Amino acid sequence: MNKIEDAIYQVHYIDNNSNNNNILNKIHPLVKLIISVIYILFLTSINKYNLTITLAMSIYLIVVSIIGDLSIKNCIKRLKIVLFFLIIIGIANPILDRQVVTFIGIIPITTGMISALTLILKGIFAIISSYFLIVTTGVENICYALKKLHIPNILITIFMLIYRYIIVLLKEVQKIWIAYSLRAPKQKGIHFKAWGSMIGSLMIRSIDKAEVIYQAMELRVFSPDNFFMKNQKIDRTSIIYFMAGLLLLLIIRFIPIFDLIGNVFVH
Amino acid sequence: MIELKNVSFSYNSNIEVLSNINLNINKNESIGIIGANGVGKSTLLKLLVGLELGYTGEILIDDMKVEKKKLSEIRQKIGYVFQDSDSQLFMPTIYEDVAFAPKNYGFSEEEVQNRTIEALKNVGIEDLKDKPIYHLSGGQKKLASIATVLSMKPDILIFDEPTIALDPRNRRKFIEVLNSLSGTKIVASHDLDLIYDTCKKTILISDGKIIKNGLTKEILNDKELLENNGLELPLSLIKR
Repeated sequence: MNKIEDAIYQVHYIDNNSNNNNILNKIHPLVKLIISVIYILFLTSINKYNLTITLAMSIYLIVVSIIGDLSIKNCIKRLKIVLFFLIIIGIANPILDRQVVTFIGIIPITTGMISALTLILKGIFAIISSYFLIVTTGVENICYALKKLHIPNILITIFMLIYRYIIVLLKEVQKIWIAYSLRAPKQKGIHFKAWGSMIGSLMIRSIDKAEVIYQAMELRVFSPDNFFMKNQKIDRTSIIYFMAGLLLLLIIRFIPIFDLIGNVFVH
Repeated sequence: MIELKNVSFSYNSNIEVLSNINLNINKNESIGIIGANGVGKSTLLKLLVGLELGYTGEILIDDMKVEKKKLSEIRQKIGYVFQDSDSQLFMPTIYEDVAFAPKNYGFSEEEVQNRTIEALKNVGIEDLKDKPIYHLSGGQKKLASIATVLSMKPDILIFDEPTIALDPRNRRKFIEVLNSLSGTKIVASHDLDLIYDTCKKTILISDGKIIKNGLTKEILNDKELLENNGLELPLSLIKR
């Protein structure tokens, strides 16, 4: 499977997974969205030098992965490009912030190293939690939850269409790539001279295709104002999930669990 | 039921794609629209559902003029099956795609389910309802596309080049399904054998004008007429 096929497969995987019949998928979308937003807010509120609390925030992800039967390892594999950028962003901290706080053996540990690690972890955790939300909820249900939060229809529609058009764009890239590689079998990648015309062609074809899909939606009476959202009731399981999730988040964010455990061993 | 009076249309002001079209289509008629590539068949279909609105003249669907404020009502009456099924199907599974229109109309959950299952049964793919769209073959996608419009229970069905990319078995299956459907049917195609098998009347278009409007058997047997307008006799009518 080439990279483009793999990307298309990943998008379809999200659709498929969101239709699974496990406990986490059955939780009301609004509940999952609120818990995820609280998690990200708590995560961003952690002091940049507080590594132990940041690490403790991973407990939530572990719990969600167990309940939802999701693999954190697979998730990291899928998000490796984003993770690469996170590492790039964090890499400047050790250079700019060189105050030594401790030593591991003879290696000095600086505040810059700690803040870099914290920043990278925060990014990774936020992305994983968002990924878990999408994979267990599906984009249509997230749109439903956003509508319940009175987010303007136009924003919800744009969000949904962007997601749907990702596949359109990827399929067009795939077609162009196949057509090119069949006529340039000895080349690795696409020659830079062809980039301009290919990107232009890709844009025109994608816009054209996206327009036809939108027409198909319009013909079935789609409009941002009447976009269907099946009304879902918040059941008892969802309420329990919300309470337990909130409690867990409060504990891992405001009680320094790892510090307490560490202190037990130190004393 | 469908009335076009002196309809002309151009994408830009210089070139007229359709010119002075006059046409009447009655209830429950099966009409084939034939013509070579680029003569305006698809444009004519798009005008009927209001995908293109900048026309001159008058288009009436059940006495309603095709204009922006009437589009919702008109589109409930007309089901439009696209040439490319991949453009028609955009939801994750067949069921969700077929249920898309009834949900947009705000029907109850029960009604949405009934319409969706009925539409899937009509085209014989109810067993595929939970299948992801990207797992379907070309033939299955075409049938699913038809189901997506049948769930709206339209009075008029429009098909734009429906047999493109279908293998012989799927083409045969499609023709069977098409013939089993009730209501007014309009099929635009240059697959003349398809038109011969499914439509009683035919309209021949060339250079944006209606050249001939009459019985399918007469038009499709007129070799000279067809050849003068960039077409050939249907394969089934050629003696070997």
